[in-house]
Amino acid sequence: MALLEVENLQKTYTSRFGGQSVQALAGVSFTVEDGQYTAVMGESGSGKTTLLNVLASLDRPTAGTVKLEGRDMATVPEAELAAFRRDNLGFVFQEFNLLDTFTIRDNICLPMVLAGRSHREMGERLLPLVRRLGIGDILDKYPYEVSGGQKQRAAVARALILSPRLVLADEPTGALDSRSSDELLRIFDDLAAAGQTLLMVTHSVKAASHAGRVLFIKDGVLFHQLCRGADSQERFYGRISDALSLLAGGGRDE
Amino acid sequence: MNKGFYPRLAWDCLRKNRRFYTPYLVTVMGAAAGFYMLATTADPKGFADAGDVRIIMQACTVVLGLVCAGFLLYASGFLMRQRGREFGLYAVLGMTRTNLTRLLLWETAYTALIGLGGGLLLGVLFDRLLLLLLAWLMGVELDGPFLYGKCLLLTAAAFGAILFLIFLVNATKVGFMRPVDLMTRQSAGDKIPKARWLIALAGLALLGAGYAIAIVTPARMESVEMDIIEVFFLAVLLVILGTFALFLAGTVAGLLLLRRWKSYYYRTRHFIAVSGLIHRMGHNAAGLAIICVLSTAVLVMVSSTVSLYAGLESHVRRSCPRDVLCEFSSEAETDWDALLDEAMDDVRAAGYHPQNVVRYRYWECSWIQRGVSSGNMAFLDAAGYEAITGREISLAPGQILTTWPEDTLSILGVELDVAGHLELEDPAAAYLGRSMGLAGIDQQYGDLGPLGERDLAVADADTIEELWRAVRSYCETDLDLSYAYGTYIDHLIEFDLPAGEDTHACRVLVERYVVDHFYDLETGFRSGCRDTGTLRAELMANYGSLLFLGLFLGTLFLGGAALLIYYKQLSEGYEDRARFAVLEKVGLDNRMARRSIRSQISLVCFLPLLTAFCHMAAAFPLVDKLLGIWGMYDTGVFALCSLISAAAFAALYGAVYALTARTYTRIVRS
Repeated sequence: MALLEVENLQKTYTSRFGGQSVQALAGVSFTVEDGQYTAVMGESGSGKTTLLNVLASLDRPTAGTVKLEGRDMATVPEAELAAFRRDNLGFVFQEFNLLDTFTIRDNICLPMVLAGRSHREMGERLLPLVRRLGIGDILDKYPYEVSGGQKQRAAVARALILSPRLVLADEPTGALDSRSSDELLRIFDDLAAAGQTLLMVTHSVKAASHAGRVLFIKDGVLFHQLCRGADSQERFYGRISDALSLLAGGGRDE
Repeated sequence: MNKGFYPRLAWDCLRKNRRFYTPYLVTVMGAAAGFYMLATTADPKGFADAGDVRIIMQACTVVLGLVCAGFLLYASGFLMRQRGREFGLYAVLGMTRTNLTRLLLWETAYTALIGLGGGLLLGVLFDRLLLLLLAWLMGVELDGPFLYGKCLLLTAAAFGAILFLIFLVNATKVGFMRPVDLMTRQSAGDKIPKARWLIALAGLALLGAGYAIAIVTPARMESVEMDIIEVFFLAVLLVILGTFALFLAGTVAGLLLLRRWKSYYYRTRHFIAVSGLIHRMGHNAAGLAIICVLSTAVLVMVSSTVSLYAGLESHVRRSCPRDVLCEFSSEAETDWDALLDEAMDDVRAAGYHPQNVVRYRYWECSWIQRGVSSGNMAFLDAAGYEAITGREISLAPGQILTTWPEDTLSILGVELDVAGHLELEDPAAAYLGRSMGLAGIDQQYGDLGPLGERDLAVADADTIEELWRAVRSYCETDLDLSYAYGTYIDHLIEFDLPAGEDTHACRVLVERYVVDHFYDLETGFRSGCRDTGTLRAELMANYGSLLFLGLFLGTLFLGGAALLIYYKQLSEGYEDRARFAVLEKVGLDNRMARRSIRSQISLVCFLPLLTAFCHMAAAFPLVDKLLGIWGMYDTGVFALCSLISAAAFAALYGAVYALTARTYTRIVRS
């Protein structure tokens, strides 16, 4: 059984006074296997952020189902959604979304505190994780005292601390310089190699070329997909670029 | 550039920021109106004969002006902080320092026009009403003009100066900022404060010292009454400083300590609350301290002035148990019974109807017998005791009832047998206690002035006569002690008048009749007369104006505190919107997130109120004694007034909180 099954997902936004409606997702279906590293690409407005929000259960679909380990997310009651999200999903955002009122340590521990874990367990989980991410020495600093790359690694640590089934990343390299981007992508590679399931929405071809599989979204539908197979990263980069040109070219023809 | 550009841009700026500017303008209006109205109460054209009152009002007007200046400076500082990004944008778009200064100048002009103009208009409109209230509280007639030109000018000048000062401060601030700084200022302000232990400890010490002074200061100070007032202001100063230090450093230090306590801190509820509070305290400490000090000021002012006013009648009755009280003494041989009878006949002839006439006398003795005994005692005979208390009493020769604490008493060789002790609650002691300054009374009633402590004794007339002669002859023989003796007999007459008869005129009649009798005798004549009508009018003028001040300043300060709370909710709403979104994504459910943030907000809002209640409770003993100076001894009444004031204030504060919390919720949910 696939870890994530998405079937005919649709999402229509209606403006508040019932005037115009916009279809952000028009029937998207795909599956993600356990341990797979998937990237979703598409231009601004293609519906990829909507897709991510629906997968993250931050937004309810208009039609279609999302199943995580066979469980339909629509059956999770509203009151348990937060706990469901906490236990099964980890998030990495473009703008990091660390809270300025907490130290890096506390930001990382936040999901554990929310889950009501003991602080001894926090220490046990925190230390190996931050050592792996190379942020062990900034734990007592505040987010505004560290660099963007460090902030994003802290956000990754926060996403991983509860060992979620699936990590969702929304443009994780979008606000980083190239060196920090490389570092982050290397971390994602390591995670994928260790068997962590990752789903990343991105603009960046380079970021996508690190994934094992790339889905292309356009105008709310799944347009194309590529699998890396045995290709080197450079070669996969070329194939993704070609596919994007094709996608843009196709747009011109319509 | 187009000539009308700056006026229009400035107007647009005010309109765009109306969420912040409306309350600010309302504050300027209220402050200007309040200042004008207070100034008119001090104007000689209004209450021409209320000399003392006018001085108090003048002083309060000056203080109010200073408080307004400080407060508006703070509020405008807050406004400028909120607008940092906006000014940064203008600067990035190419406005120079001069341009920005011109913009600010126009904004100031509008503020002056609307705030000051509106304030003066409001002031003029409501001034009459307020003066009528003051006149009613003081029990006097109101005359004087409808419009006070000098006060209008004074208000315009004072607030013009304040607004110009604010303009200068803001222009300097904007001028020294680089555009990028202006743009990023909001996020740079989000630093987590560090613990400042020294300041926190100093604050604790200052507060403790202030509280200690307030609680342990005895009613009877070494010298005269001014000192207790000075002590009061010293305590106030200590508590204000302590409050600021504690809010600025103490709260953060305490919270950081909590954070170190891991098994407490890393729990869902505490985790978000403690870190959120550290953050809030770092930002809001000064504002919270100001709210706390303002609230305390309102509470103490209102409760004390209300209880002074409420205790007015009992004060009158304590000084003057019946409507008219006349007290005479003379060295000359006089038939007092006949003289006072004649005086009363005179009174009746003038059309008065005296009732409940009481006549008695007491013997004053003070003596020092070197190395043996000294004392200061007032004797009342059995007839006098009966006249005052309505109780019959029979004492054998040599027996006394007294407030003297021991069982035997020997005065200059006359042995006295203490048959019983008079408690201060005894009607006779209570009746005479205040006017005669009995020993022990001071602990209950505060300072008695230079008369010092005296004891009261009741004895039969013969014993008193014997004793008195002994003291007299002793004093006459031992001349070097002459400074320390005093012997005289006080003759008192007291009576009530039916409602509607003029106590003052009647009292003057009695007094003049007796004084006339002694006019050409060289006798060491003394008299002391008072009446309820005169006393009540005097006290009403004083306490009425104090009550007015308490209510008036209390209302203004409450308005100020309300504005601060509103601003606080507004700024926190914007801050929390982002935090709230993140928490939700990370897995805190909606309801809990809102509840946790909401509980922090209410804690931050109610912390100053709770602290103010603490201050009020600590100040209670000292204020109680202070009220004693002004003749208000009824601690029960003061306690009741304090409780009512506190409850009313809490209700108003809660209402302000609830109203502003709606703004907060709207912002967070949008």
